[in-house]
Amino acid sequence: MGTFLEWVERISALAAPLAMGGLIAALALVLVARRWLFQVVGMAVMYFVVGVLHTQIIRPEVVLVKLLIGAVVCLALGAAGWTTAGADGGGRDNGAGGGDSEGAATPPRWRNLFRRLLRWSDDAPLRALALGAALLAAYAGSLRFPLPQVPALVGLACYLLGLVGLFLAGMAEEPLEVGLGLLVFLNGFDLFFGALEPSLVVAGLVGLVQFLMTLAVAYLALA
Amino acid sequence: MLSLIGIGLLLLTVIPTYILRRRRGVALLLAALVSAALGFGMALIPMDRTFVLWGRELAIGGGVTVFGRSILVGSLAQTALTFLFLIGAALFLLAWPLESGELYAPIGLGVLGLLAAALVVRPLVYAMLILELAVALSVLLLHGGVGGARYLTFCVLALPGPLVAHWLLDMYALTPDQTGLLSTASLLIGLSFALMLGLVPFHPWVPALARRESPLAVALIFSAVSGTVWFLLLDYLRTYPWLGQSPYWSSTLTVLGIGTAVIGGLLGTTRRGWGALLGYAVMLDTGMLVLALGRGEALGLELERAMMLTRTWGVLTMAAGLAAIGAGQKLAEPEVSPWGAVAAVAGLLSLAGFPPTVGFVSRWGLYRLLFQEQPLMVAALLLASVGPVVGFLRMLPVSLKSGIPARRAMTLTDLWLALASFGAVTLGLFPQFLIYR
Repeated sequence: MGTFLEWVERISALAAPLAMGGLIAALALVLVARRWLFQVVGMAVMYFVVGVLHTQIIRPEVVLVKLLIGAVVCLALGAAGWTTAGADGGGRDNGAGGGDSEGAATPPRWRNLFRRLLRWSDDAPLRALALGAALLAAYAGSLRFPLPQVPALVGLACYLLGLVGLFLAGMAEEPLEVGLGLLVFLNGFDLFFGALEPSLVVAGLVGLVQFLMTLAVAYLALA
Repeated sequence: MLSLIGIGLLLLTVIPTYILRRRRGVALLLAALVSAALGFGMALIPMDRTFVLWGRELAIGGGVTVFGRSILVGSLAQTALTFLFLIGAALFLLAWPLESGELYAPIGLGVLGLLAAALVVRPLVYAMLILELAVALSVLLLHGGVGGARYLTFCVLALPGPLVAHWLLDMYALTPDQTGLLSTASLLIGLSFALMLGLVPFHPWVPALARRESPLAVALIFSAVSGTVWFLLLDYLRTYPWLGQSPYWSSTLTVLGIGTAVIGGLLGTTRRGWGALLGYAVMLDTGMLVLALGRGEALGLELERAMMLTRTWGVLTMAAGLAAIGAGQKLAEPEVSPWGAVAAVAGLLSLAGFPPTVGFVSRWGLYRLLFQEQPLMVAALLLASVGPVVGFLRMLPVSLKSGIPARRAMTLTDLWLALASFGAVTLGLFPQFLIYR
C-alpha cells in the first residue's frame, strides 16, 4: 500500500500539467464520441486524472477511496451501457449519421462493429465546439475568479469539469448521458470541495451520492 | 434518541419489506404500520422524558452523537418528523390498492429513513448530502424517462451551493469584517433551494415529472421530499437568522413566489394531461408557500406550516385519484373509476385553493395577510389559482367520452379515495382540527 501511495504522489508532482491534457482528452471522449464504450473509457480516464489532481490537495488515502468509488461507478456505467446497447439491437446509435440499407448484404459482425465505432454522430461538430467553448470559459473563469484553497491548475480542472458536465447534461437526450454529465459536474465540484472539507466522511458521502446517482440513471436508461 | 431509533427502524424494515415484495399488500401494510407508529410516537411521546439504557440515563428527545456528528431533535425537527412519518403511512396505505410496483415499500421506507436522517443530522452540510442520497433513491420509484432525469439534474445542481456556503460561513466566523462572504453564502443557499423547490425559472422538472410518472411515486416526491426541503429551509433560517434579515430577502421571495404561482397558473390552463395538471397545481402552491415565507414574521411562518399540511393533503388526494383512473400508466383507455375522478378533482381544487376544500383555508390566511398592502398581487394570485381549474374544465369533455360507468360495488380502493376526498372537504369546512390546535 505504502509503495502505491508513494507512486501516486510522485505521479501527482510530476504530471499535473500532463494530467490536464489527459483530462481534456477524456472529456472529449465523453462529450463528443457518444458511444457508450468510448464514454465509459473516457469516464475511467477522467476519474484517474481527477484522482491524480486530488493528490495535490488531499491525503493519498482519501484519494484511494475516491479512485475506488470511480472504478465502481465506471463498472456500473459500463454494465448499463452494454445492456442499453443490447436492448437497442446491437449498439446505441445516438444520432449517428449514415446507416446501412435494409436490403444490403449483412457485413461480418466485427466489420459492422468497427464501422459503427468509427462513425461520427451528426452533432459531433457542435459538441466539439461546446468543448472548445467550455475550455475557453474555464480558462477565463480560472483567471478572473480563481478558486480559493486550490492550485491554479486544479482550479482550471474544476471549472472545466463543471462546465463540460453542464453542457453534457444539457445536450443529452437519454438518461444515461444526463447521468454522465452530472457525474462529470460532481467530479469538478468534488475536486474543489475536497480542498475545503478534506474529511473522510464527506468524501464517502459524496462518493455514495455518485454511486446512487449512477444506479438511478442506469435504472432510468433501462426502465 | 427516539429519532435515531426511528431512523434505524425504518431502514431495518427495508429488509423484510424487500423479502416480502412479492406479497405487495403485506409489505405495504408493514411499512404503513411502522411509519404510522413512528409518526404517532413522535407526536405523542414527551421529548423530555428520560429512560435508563445500560446504566446510562438518556432523554427521549436528547441529542446523540454518531461518528462524531450530532443528531438533534428540536421542536421544528419533531414537527417535521411527525409530518414525514405520517405522510409515509398515508402513502403506503394508498399504494396498497393503487400502486403496482413491487419495490414501492422498501424503496419508500429507504427514502423516508434518509429524509428523516437529513432532518436531524447536524451540521447542515451533512443534511444536504443525505438529502441528495434520498433524491437519488427516490428516482428508483419512477418509470424512467425525461421527468426523472430532469428531477435528478436539478437536485444534483443544487448540491454545491449549501456545501460551499457552509465553508464560507466558517470563513466569516474567522474574518467577520468580510461581509461579502455572507452575501455569497445567501446567494448560494437561495439558488440551491430554488432549484430543489422548482421555483421559476428552475421549474421544468416539476410538470415533466408529474406528467409521465406513476402518481404515487410523484406524490412521495412532491410531499415527503419537497416537505423535507421546506423544513430544511426553515431550519437554515433558524440557524442563520441573518439570511431572512437581508434587505433583498423579502423582495426576492415575493418576485420568485409570484412568478412561480403565475407561471404555474398560466401553464395550468393548457391541456397536457392529468399528470401535468398536478405538476402545475404544485407549482402554483409552491409560489404561494414562497410568498408566505417572504413575509418573514411569525404569522407568515405559522401560515407556511399550515400551507404545507394542506398542500400535502391536496397532493396525496389528487395523486390517489390519478392512480385510480390510470394516469401515468400509459393505458390505451383510461380506467373507469368514479371515486378516482372525485379524488382527483377534490385534490386539484384543494391545490388551487378553491373553497370549501382544505387548500382554501391556508390560502385565505395568505390573501388576508397580503391584501392590505398589495391588493393587486392578491388579484394576480386569485387569477393564477383559476388556471389549473380552467385546464381541468378543458380536459373534461375528453375525460367524459369514456361514458358513464355501470353500477358496481364499492371496493376498498373506492373507500380510500372517498375518505381522502371527504377529508379534503371536511377539513376545509372545519379547519380548526388542522391548524388552530
